[in-house]
Amino acid sequence: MSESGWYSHKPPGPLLMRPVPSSQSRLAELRRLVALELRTQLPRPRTWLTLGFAALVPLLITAAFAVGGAPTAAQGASETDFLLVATRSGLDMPLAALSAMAPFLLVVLVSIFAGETLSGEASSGRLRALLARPVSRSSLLASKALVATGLSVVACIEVTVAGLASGVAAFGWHRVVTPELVSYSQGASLERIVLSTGYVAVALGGVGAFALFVSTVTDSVIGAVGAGIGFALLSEILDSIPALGSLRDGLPTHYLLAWGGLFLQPAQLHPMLAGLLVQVPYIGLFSAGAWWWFTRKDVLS
Amino acid sequence: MPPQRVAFDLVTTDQAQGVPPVELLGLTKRFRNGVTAVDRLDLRVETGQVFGLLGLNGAGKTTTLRMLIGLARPTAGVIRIFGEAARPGARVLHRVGSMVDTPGFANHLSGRANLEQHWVAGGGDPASGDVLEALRIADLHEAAERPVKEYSFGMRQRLGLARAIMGRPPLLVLDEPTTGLDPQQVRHVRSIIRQLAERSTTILLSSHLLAEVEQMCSHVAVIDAGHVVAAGTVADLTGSASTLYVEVDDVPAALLVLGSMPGVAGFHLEGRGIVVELAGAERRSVAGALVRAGIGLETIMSRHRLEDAFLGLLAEGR
Repeated sequence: MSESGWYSHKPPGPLLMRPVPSSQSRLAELRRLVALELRTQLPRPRTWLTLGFAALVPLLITAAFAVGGAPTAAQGASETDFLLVATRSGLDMPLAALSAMAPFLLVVLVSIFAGETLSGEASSGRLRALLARPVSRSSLLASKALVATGLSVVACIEVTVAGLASGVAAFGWHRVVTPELVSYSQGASLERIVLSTGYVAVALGGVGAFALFVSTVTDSVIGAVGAGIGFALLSEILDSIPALGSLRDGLPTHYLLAWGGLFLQPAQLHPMLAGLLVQVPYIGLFSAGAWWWFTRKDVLS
Repeated sequence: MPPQRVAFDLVTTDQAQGVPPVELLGLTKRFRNGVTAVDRLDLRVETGQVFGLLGLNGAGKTTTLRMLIGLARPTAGVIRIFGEAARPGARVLHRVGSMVDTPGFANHLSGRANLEQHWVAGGGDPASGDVLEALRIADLHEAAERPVKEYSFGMRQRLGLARAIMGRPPLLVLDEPTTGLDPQQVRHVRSIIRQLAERSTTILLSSHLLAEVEQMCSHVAVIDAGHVVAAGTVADLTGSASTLYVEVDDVPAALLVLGSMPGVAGFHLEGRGIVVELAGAERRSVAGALVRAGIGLETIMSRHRLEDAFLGLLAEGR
């Protein structure tokens, strides 16, 4: 270990003042922090494992159906479920994958991305180093939320793309047949598949916002991720109790599969619209809560 | 031995106006659970000082430093860094390098990538050479490309120090910078701090080690229960012995002897011994008086004020 004077090659004299960056707008700061967050998250093995998993599961479903055939109503698949028709066309497969994965697997992935944001930084001890810099906490939170949202959207897209690619390979490029036995051309169904994927991504927003909020409160990654999953499961359990009646319409996961309305004849867009509206208060409330808490938080960990 | 203070011709407007790098006025932190960690604490650190905050664990050192660098908000009081009111995310934090608690990193990234990210997050230019300089100072340039998860504890600590000194901030805030290091690493870290101090960096560090503060600091404040209980230059506080610490086999008899002795200003019990405040009497006259009275003398030590203030805290059993 060297103890020689590290500074000796420089002449004695005034120290340089630490360079102060030119005055930057909030937007420039946010862009810089988003780039940094991407540079942290993208090389992380966990990110790739999680994203890889999102693509792997549709492949497994396709493979299972190709070998053993699609489930039938008698095997417990509900009559409106795309799993029933998954083997009729490769274009049915992404829809089957979405309906199979959204209620649990995508919920888990979104909770991981959103729940890890700040609790992860706090538990690694990096948060206190970051916040000791002249960095706006709002910008930091926003950059984390944006990257978590981006990764969640990518996970949803992966499900669709992996389902579509494997489905077409296994079951061919045919017209889509819905569980109600309505048939759509390939072009018309592709449009609907894209819309459905986007819808699912938005419909998971409430769960993600909740996990983000908990992430600002706790230093435990497991706690924050688990809270997101628990929140979604609680919503799904309450949703399965008929006695609650129309109260269930306000649950964050109630309309998770409402994109199926796109494939009815005539299309039923009303549940999708309700599903989007329901997310507004959840996303708004929990994001505001995360901001309120994080900008006032004493970082003592 | 305190480091030699070298006067450099560092001319900034701050110094021209005599603005202290750190000024804390009535700083108070009460936590939600009712614990008051910092209680009306006043502190002023002048340019070029190596200022030690000496106190036991839980005395409020870390909480004070956390509030200073914007990690926690004070319940009351004023924090000024280079004359600017400091709050979380304040621009003046550009001029502060800090390491509080065990440093944390993105463990899957290299040491260099971690420093670069930290530098860029605060608006620094990644191409400025500051990252490499900091790695070199911390003697980590050879391990710079290895992921931090492969670093030893000591290397992580030095990487934390490198992160703090990146860009040569005029004010450096270090919370127990040598805790958990082996003796060789302690020596290395102290040598880095000393060299920075010689180049006019103002340093505020906390420690629970009396010897460390005596060795490294020019100024010191002893903190207990969130208060400053003694402060001054280390030379002042370690100057002439002002008290004696004695341990005897018959305490009541010794107290009688001391009570009637000229040149003794006062005394009080501390742990197993007695602290005698001298006002003219010398060590050997006190020892002689005790021995003549037939009291067995087990220990007799001179103490200077810094030891007094600090060891007094230890003896209270906290």
